[in-house]
Amino acid sequence: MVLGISLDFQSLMDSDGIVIAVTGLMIVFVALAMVSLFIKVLPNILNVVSLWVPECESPHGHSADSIEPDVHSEDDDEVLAAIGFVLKNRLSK
Amino acid sequence: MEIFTEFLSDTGFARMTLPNAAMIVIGIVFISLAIIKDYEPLLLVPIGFGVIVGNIPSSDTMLLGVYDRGSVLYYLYFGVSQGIFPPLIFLGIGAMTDFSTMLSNPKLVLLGAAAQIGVFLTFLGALALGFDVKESAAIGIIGGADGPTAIFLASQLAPELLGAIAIAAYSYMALVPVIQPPIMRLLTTREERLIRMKPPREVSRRERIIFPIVAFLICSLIAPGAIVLIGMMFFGNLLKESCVTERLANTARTAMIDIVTILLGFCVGASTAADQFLKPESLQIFGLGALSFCIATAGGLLFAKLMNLFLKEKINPLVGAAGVSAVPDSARVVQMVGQQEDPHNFLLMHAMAPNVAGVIGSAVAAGVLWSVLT
Repeated sequence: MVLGISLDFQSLMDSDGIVIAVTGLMIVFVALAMVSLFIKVLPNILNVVSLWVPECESPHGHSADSIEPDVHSEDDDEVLAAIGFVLKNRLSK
Repeated sequence: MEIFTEFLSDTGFARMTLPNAAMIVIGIVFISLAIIKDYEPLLLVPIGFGVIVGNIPSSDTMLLGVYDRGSVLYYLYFGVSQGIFPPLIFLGIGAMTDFSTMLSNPKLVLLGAAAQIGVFLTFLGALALGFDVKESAAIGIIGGADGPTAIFLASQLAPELLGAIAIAAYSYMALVPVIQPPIMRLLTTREERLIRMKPPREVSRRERIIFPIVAFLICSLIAPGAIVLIGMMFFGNLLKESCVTERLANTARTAMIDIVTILLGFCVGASTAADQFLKPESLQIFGLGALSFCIATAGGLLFAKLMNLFLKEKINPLVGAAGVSAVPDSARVVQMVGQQEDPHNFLLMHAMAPNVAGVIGSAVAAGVLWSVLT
């Protein structure tokens, strides 16, 4: 009993707590290690695949990088002006 | 006159108790922290106001609170108690997450796994404190630093602790900039904090499209319990990366996630009625929650240092601290602590890799615990 809090380590054994914790942590590690391994080999797989199916950057006339945000150019000017104002204030402190 | 006296006895003033008043003050503190300190305002404002609403005492004959079957709040709270809102939040998170930095440096994924040690050690700590095994699992997941995951698992395994777990999880997420830096400085040397990492490589569109599908298959086949959370997150990410469902992705990451966040935060706050919330167990949950955040941060950092023993290209151990989910706050903290040592060292991009890996890791951990304990 420390600071009014009692610790019962026997309950860790009784409820298979340690087994659940160790197994759970191992499963998380295995899952993420496999994801990591897959990411590692993915470029190699894609290099082989692209020999038969070359990558088409914009199959529908647009790609992730080419999609323009739906904002007007006037907004850009205002945002740039605001950023410039904040930078000037910060630097002049 | 009798009616007037009866009305007076039914007002909140007459029925107000000290615990209710204390909870209302806590709600106001949450709102103040959000507005004045800018701590997670999108979460703390709805939760804080929900706490105030949930602690206005009402007549026993009126159905008003989240626990009163048939009340409006009861039906809104249905999304929390049945675990409906968290997967929808994950859909939005997936639609706004860019996995490119993780795809460019896959070894950093392991840091997201290492930080989950906070979940499992806290699970053991809760067991030792006398919580039953399901309650302990629900408390342990606070260490995943992921509010929706904590709510989801608590709603499935320990609904009676849902309010305390949700408040603890979100409070500590908001306090990441306070909790993490001292641990990061304590466990790293200045030389380690100065390590610069290579800029991430460019990731092809094909990689970004294939990743959510295969990563979902890997995670869900290993831990089927994670299907709901992981599935929605990777589905949202596929909507984003496929580039052919931009409207859906845009809705998921803006309007939808905002609506669900409002409802989730407000209902979680409203579930903290003093008679349900102010118990000794809640204090223990808060203590265990703080411990789990510290362990998770230390776990990620120490694993990064361990990896450095075997790596030619060293990683800055600070990025390990981002293995606790808390996206993107913990990654921002890594950037901040790194720049205090070297203002020209940009760690944010690198820290995002273990950060998003931590989201996957905590969802898998929740899935594992759910599978094992039901």
